[in-house]
Order: sequence, then C-alpha cells, then structure tokens
Amino acid sequence: MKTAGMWWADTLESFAEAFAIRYDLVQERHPAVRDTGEWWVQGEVWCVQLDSWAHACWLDAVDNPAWRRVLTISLQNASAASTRQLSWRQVVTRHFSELVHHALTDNWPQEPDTHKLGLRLITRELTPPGCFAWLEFSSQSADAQEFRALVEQVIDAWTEVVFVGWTDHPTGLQAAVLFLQTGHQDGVDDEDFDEEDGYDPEGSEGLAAQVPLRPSPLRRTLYPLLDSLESDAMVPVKATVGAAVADVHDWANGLHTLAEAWRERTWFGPGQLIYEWGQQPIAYLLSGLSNGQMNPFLHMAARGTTGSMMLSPDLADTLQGVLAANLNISEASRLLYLHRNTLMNRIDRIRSQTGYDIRQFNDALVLWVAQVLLRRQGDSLPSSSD
Amino acid sequence: MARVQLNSIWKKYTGDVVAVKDFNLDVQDKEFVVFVGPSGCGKTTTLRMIAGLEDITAGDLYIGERRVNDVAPKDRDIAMVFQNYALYPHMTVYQNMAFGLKLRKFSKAEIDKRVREAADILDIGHLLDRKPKALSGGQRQRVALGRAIVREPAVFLMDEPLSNLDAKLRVQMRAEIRKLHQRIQTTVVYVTHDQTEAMTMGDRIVVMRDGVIQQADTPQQVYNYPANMFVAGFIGSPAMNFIRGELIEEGGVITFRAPEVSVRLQEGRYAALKDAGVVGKEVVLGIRPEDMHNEEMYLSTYPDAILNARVEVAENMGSEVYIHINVGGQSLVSRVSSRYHYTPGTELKLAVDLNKAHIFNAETEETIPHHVAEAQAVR
Ligand SMILES: Nc1ncnc2c1ncn2[C@@H]1O[C@H](COP(=O)(O)OP(=O)(O)O)[C@@H](O)[C@H]1O
Ligand SMILES: [Mg+2]
Repeated sequence: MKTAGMWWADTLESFAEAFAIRYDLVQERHPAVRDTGEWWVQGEVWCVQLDSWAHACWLDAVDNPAWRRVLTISLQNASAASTRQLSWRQVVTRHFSELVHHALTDNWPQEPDTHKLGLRLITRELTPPGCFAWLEFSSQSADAQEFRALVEQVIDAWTEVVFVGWTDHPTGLQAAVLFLQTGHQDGVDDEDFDEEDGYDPEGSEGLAAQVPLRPSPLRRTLYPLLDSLESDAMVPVKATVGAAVADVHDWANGLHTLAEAWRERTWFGPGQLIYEWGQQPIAYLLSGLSNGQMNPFLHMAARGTTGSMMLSPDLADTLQGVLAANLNISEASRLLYLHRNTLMNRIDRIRSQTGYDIRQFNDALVLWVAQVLLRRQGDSLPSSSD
Repeated sequence: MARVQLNSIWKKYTGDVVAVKDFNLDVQDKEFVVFVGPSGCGKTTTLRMIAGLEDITAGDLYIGERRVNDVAPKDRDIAMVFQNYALYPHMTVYQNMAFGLKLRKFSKAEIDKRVREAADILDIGHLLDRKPKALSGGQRQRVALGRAIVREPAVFLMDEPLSNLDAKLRVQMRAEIRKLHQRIQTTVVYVTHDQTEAMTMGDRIVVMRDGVIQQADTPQQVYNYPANMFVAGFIGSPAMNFIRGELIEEGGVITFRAPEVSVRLQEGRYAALKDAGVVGKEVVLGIRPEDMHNEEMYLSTYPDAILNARVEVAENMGSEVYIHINVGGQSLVSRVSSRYHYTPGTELKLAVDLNKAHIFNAETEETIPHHVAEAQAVR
C-alpha cells in the first residue's frame, strides 16, 4: 500500500528508525474500530492502529511500554495536526480519494466511516440537502492549470453547485468532487422545466436506460451544469452521483455512496454520462459478495458443463438483448440488429456452451448473474475513458 | 461556414452497444439538416461525435476540408445548443452571452462587438441588462441561441433544444430558428425525435432507426416517397395506414386483396411490381389518412379502389375529422372534412387515391417504387 502522503507516514518511519525496528503495513478489511495510536497483540506481534484504514505490525519486539506510549502520542499529535491543517475541502477530497482507492481493492468497507468524517468536516459552505458528485474529464489538455481554471469558472457560475476540490483519479484523468445543493431554489426557474413529464428525453427505453427518470433535483443542478461544461468550456465530462445528503450527519454516507456508485459504474456503465448511486440495486447486491460467496454460486451455475460460463462479447451482447426484449425473439433481433436466424444461431451456441436456454427466464437470469460475477472476478482496473 | 462529411462512421460503446452503424452523410455548406428518429436510434450519439464529445469508433469525419476525428471539441469551430441548456441565473443577458467568449479569453472589445451583433440579430438588444428571471420563455431561448451565435462557428449543433418548452412556444421557436438560419447562413445539424419538427425545419431530414440511416432527403420527398415501411409510418401524423394483403394477377390485371379490400392497381406500376418479384406474394398497402376519400368524385374516379369501412370513433379536430375505421378487421384512420358527421357503427365507402398509395414488400419492408426507372434512381 501507498504510505506517501499519509499523515502518519513520517511519524511511523522516524519511530522505526529511532528504535531500529521493522514493521509491516496492513490494510483494514473494514474501517477500524480502534483509535489512532491504540496498541494490541496479535499472536506474538504488537500492532498499532494508524488511521481507520491501516495499522502497522512490528516485526521486532516493542515490549517496552514507554516506547509504545511515545508512538501513541506522536501519532495522536500528527493526527490532530493533520486534521487542523486540512481545510474542509481537503478533508472531503482526501477522504474520497481514499474511498476510490479502496473501491479498487478488495477492501471495500460495507459501512461508511460516519463518525470520523462527521467530526472532521465542519463547514458552512456546504448546505444540505444535496448530494456529492464526481466529475471525470476525458479531454487531454496540455496545460492542467489552465484546464482546471476553465472548469472551475463554469462550475462557479452555478450557485447551486459548490466546487469542493480536484481529486486523484486512478487512471490519471482530471477529476473533481462537487456538492450539488438541492435545497434552495432561487437559482434556475421552475418554468424552465415541465415538471409533469419528468425528465424523459424521448419517451422510452433508449436514454431512459442511461439517465434514470428522476425529475428534480438533478435536473436543476447537474444537467444544466454538464450541458454548460460541454457547450461553453467544450470539455467532455462524465458524472457520478452519490446518495442524498439530508443533513450534516450524512456527509460520510454521501461520499461513501459516491465512491460506491463509481465502483459500480466501472463494472456496469462506464460509458454513461451520468451514473447515480442506487441505479443498479441488483448489481450492487452482487458486487458486495466475497469470493467465498460467489464461488459456490458459480459452481452450481456451471452444472458440470465443460464449457466456460463466461460468454464471448457477441454472446454476452445476445443475452443482454434478449433480456432487454423481455425474452421476445423478434424484438431482440430488432434491438440487436441481427437477423432472426443469426440470433437463433447464437442462442443455440450459448446453449451448447453453457447448457442454458436464454429464452427461459430462469436460465437467462442465472446466466446473467454469472456474467456479472465472472466479469467482476476477472476485472482489473477498468478504464473509464471510453 | 462549412460542409460536414460523415464517411462510414461507427460508434460502439463499451458493453458492445453499437449505437451508430456505417453512417454516411454529406451536409452541404449552409444546409439545415435534421436527424430524426425514435428514442435510442443514435441521433445524439452522432451529433456528439460531430461535436467531439464522443470518440468515433471507425470512419472519417470532416468539417470543412479538415479531418477532425482527433481534433478537440474547442478546435472544431462548432457551437452547441443542448436540451438542458439553461441560462446562468445570476448573470445578465449580456454576461450570459459573453461567458463562453470570456472563457476562451477573447478581448473585451471583441466580446462586446460580438454580443451586440448577436443581440441585434436576435432582437434582444433591449434586454442585455436583464437577468434570466425577468425574461419570457421565448426571450430566454433566444439568449440561449445567442450564446452559440457569438462564437461565430462554422457549424451549429443542436440537440432537442426546444424539448423543454411548452407546445406553443416550441412552434414559435421553430420558426425563429429557421429565420435565424436564413439570416446567418451557417450549417446546422439539428436533432429531434419529433417528426413534425423535422418536417417543418429541415432542408433535408435524415430518418434514423437503430443506428442506421433509413432515408436522407427533403421533407417533401421523404413524405411522398418513403424508402420503407419504417419511414412511412414514422413520418406523418396521423400515421400512414398499413393493410396486409396479397397481390394477385388474374387475366393480366394485378389486384391487391385483403379482407373487405380489393384494389386494382394501375397498369403503370406492373413493371415495377414484377421487377420486385412480389406478384402473387404477401405485400403491405400503405395509404396516408388524407388519401382515402369519402367524396362522390373520388368514389367514381377510383371505382376499382374502394374500401368498405365501419366507423369506430370520429375525432373532430375542427377543420377536419379523423375517423377511425375498421376495414375487414384492420383498424385504419382517415382524414375527412368536418362537413361530414359520422357516428360509431356507420358503414361507409372510401376511395383510395391510387397515385398516392404505397406498396411495400412484406418481408423486407422496402418500398416498391411506382416505376422501374424510379427504382434505379432511388438505389
Ligand atoms: N454513453 C453511453 N454508453 C452506452 N450506451 C449508450 C451511451 N449513450 C447512448 N447509448 C446507447 O446508444 C444508443 C443510442 O443512443 P442515443 O444516441 O442517445 O439515441 P437518441 O439520441 O436517438 O435517443 C441507445 O441504445 C443508448 O442506450
Ligand atoms: Mg437524444
């Protein structure tokens, strides 16, 4: 794991040097219940908690309680200093960057680290209700400084949108966290929107699959923002949106769900212009499974077939199309733009490979879930630039 | 001012969605082209590829003489107006229009010149100091256009810019955008799912379905000579009636037959029908609602093209009536003058204007042209 940039890194390193002892860094599987600087013995080994995501285990003896107290106090001081030195913007962007980092590892926490963030995030500049959003910019700009200034100017022109800060992106893209304030409505006028029909660009399927039918508040804040970024600043942009933050107790949940939505998007909708948390509840459920829980399912689903359950892209496409068409073959061939015979031929290929007839709902369902899980297992870091 | 060429453009999204397939179009300099089609057919994707907001998976895109596949949006000499496009609420009209230029670091003098020129064109010079809140819906829409105009682009790209407006304003803005186009003479690519909007605005309309161009032609040509059943059914309101039946040749005469329908086709069409190999096969007869007549004059002109219909519902639209009729179990709509009053259950005869009747291959859904020569012209 990376230690550079962690507030405890220097303290830890100097302690190890001072007493000439070695340590291992360990990432938490869940946010730690221990406090910073707390010691415990694991087997024969002394460990100390660093932050909620990491602890250190000492390879050499630290039996002297005085030594341990030194480190505890140093860590607590460093923590306090780091907290005081960070602006609320840095608190949010750091916390979120950490979450994104964890979203890409197997250490995804199930519960938001509510307590810690709540204490550290005190600001009057963000007014709930609202939600956090992460913008990813795919444009390559020679001058990052100029690019950021350009984007910030557009964001600043929207009063309901609070720019929080630029964050690290795993693939090196420009990315920024925003807070969309959905509470006060003195900005865009209601008349601009025809509330009755909700946000339904063209009536049915197409975009609806892409932009969920959710009238305000995103329509008032995010949609105009994205349109103006594209047409005024002329920068292509994709947005991920977290769950609603109703009041200050929800800060952590707001960021946690934002990172969670982003993690889901990397698997289920990398191309979507807007990906909202909660858009794909089943996918979410599946993404929470551990290998230990997935494997029995995959075994059962394989039913002893020799072929792989993992479908090639064209067959996976076929499955998707058949499901989208409610298992109606004529409709599916229209959606997939395949001749009926070609489609039937592919359905047969799926059956001979996996033993599943995707014209049957149960078969299609099992195979679909298997695709999601297999894709997840096989996934390394997905690229979000496409 | 520029020509826009799309040569074999494809778009494949991750997850294997092929949104646009082999798209070929040559938009002339100063032309107003409208992409139209049902939701999800790839209109927005195509427009965003022209804008540079989506990568082009395959094919070549030219704006002017320049291949722009790898050119950033800001360097493509375009301006965009999108559906959600809202004005910055805390800026005046002037500031709203100046904003895009300010971002691109134009000089104050140049910005001022351009904003005032655009305001002149749009007739909103007297509103420059107002905030959006103090504007009517139509005025706001004009400001939104003004923000694009000040860029003085070679091409305007518009994606459903009117779809957030109420019906009345939408009709008014269609006309205004057309007038604006005549005044500033810039190439426009305009996207809508509304066929009426497409018909009334485009010099040329491009009808799309499932990522594929079905037909690209003038509104009149598309309306009168739809290339296939999809276009025929999509363009026109109420939609074209389709009657499934068979083409039967007896004693040198070709007749379209379906229950309660027997239409003797004009000899002039025989060659094309034979050429298409549909005689003796199942076909679809397409008739627009206004091409079925209840007047005596038509009934006597087309004695061999009479439908026996029963009225199900009559919808009075003011100057005309849409009568929903049942012909041998098939539901059709006919548009007749509101001089006539029909009550449900009434039996009546309707004459089909054979010159305007379409015949489609039931299998391929392609139009069978009236004449063989025409077939060559179309292909
Ligand atoms: N960013 C995207 N990622 C994946 N699929 C997309 C994306 N945008 C659009 N699509 C899909 O591409 C097809 C065409 O969409 P679109 O161009 O928005 O159609 P239209 O504007 O005609 O309604 C649809 O099937 C849509 O679901
Ligand atoms: Mg669209």
